[in-house]
Amino acid sequence: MASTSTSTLSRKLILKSSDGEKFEVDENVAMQSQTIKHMIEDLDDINSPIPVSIVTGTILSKVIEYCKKHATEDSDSDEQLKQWDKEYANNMDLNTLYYLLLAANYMEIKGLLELITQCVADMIKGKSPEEIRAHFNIKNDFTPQEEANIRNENPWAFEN
Amino acid sequence: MQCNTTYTTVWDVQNHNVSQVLVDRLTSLPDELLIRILSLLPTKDAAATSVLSRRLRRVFPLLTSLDLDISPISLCLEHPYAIERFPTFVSFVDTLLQAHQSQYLTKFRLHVNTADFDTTYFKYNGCTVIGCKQGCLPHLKSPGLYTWISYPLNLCGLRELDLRILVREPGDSQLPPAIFTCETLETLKLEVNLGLDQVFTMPSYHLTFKPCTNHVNITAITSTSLRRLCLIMIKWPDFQEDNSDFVLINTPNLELLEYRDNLAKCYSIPAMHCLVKAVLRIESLLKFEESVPMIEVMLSLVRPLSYAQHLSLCSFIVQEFDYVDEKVLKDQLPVFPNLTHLELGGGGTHYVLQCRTLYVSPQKSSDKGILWIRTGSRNDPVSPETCISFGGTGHMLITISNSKSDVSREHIE
Repeated sequence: MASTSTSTLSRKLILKSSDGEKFEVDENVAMQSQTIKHMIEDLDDINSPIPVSIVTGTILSKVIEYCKKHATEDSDSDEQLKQWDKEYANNMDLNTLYYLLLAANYMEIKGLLELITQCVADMIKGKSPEEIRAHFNIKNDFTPQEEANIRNENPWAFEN
Repeated sequence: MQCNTTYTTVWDVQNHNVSQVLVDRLTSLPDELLIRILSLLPTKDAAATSVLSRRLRRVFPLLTSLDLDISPISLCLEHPYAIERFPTFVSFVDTLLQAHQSQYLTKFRLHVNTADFDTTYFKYNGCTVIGCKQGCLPHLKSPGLYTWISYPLNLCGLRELDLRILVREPGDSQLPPAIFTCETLETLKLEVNLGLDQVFTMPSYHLTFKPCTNHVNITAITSTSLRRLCLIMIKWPDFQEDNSDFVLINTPNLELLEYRDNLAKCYSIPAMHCLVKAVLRIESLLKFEESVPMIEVMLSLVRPLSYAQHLSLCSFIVQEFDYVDEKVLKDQLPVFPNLTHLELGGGGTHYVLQCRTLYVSPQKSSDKGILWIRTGSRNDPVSPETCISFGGTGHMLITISNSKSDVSREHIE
């Protein structure tokens, strides 16, 4: 995907996912990732694809969707942007959210990382331990006695 | 940054479809991310996750934010609520702080008080509104309490400290002086009935605090990192005329200031050039026998805040401005070059504002015009342009349009 003839305002970068999918994005979109920003600084040839090694194409496309939205500063108010973030996160299933979180962490995209961690925290809030286990598919590796001991150590944490 | 917490989303559907989600989608995250997520929760909820699996139990002591809130609780003698929670809360905090292992702590929030305290204990003209008594407050004593409050200050990276602690017998309990010199702090919220008496001498850049005698009452806050400061000093009716001798707030980068106290005898507050919003509420004036001219003290409190865009003045500060001679006030009040929002409020329901007028002078030194605030029941009508809403609650909100000087000329005498 060679960049077309133009001398556009923003340079184009090509990001390559772990499964080989390539994405052409504006530089200011990609630069929201601190990791990519640092990679570009060390890069001699800006036209060669930048490998985003642990992120699959499916997830990378979602990451780029987020970065694009947050790269255009003028169009939306803070309130609209928050609403967009909320809908963006709510449209993800748990698996996507999980990999998106890993990607945001690896790519060092502060806003996305905060959005997804808050979203997961909200999923935990207000649920009983049993509900949380079921929700995230957490395997209980305590014996019933151990579990009872933990509850007894900190009764306040388990009061309603 | 809030996500919808309703449970009828795609992932819930998936949970019932076992073939799709077999992998643990929480505890298989790296430590760093788990700590981030748990640190966003109230510490009570985070602690409850320790029971989920060994992994989470191991991560819990590494939290980088502690949020401890026992409300709603009432230890009220007449209307107790959830009293049995209090001892378990105290032992929870003790255990937590002993087991905590992280070297970094960005946020520490500790709320221990009764919910309705704020509204019930107000004395006006000798009438006390009967509500909770001091005996209803939680019984927390030094050195235990001091250990709790000091804890976050001994770790690295504290950005937000939020303490709301009203104890039954404050005695000579003091806040740790390190609060006021913490160089990483950005947000400080204090609503305490503990002592804030601090004296410091400043040889070059080194600050030293010394304890002082009982009758001296000095508050000194110095920090270049601080962005938000919320200083709410609750005085019991017995001490209603307990005015601080000296208040120093040296926070040049402050953006938000909320200050509520009896009028101190002296303020030393360097101008805050980054200030966006200031809320001042003066609960009680100086005693009449004090020789300090009150208006000067008040102006020394208001002047450094002249860069604010949003200014809110409540209670006696408004009343006092009302008594002062117009000319004096016009000469003494600073220019508020950035002001777009002005709020004037009375002292609760006891003090109903009379008709108030906003003066804006013709252009002088500033190209945006000079704004005089004077509030009073003099003969001037409230103009429709400057007064947006004037409720019956003794509270008026004035929004000044951008064309300040246009509005102004109509109201200069």
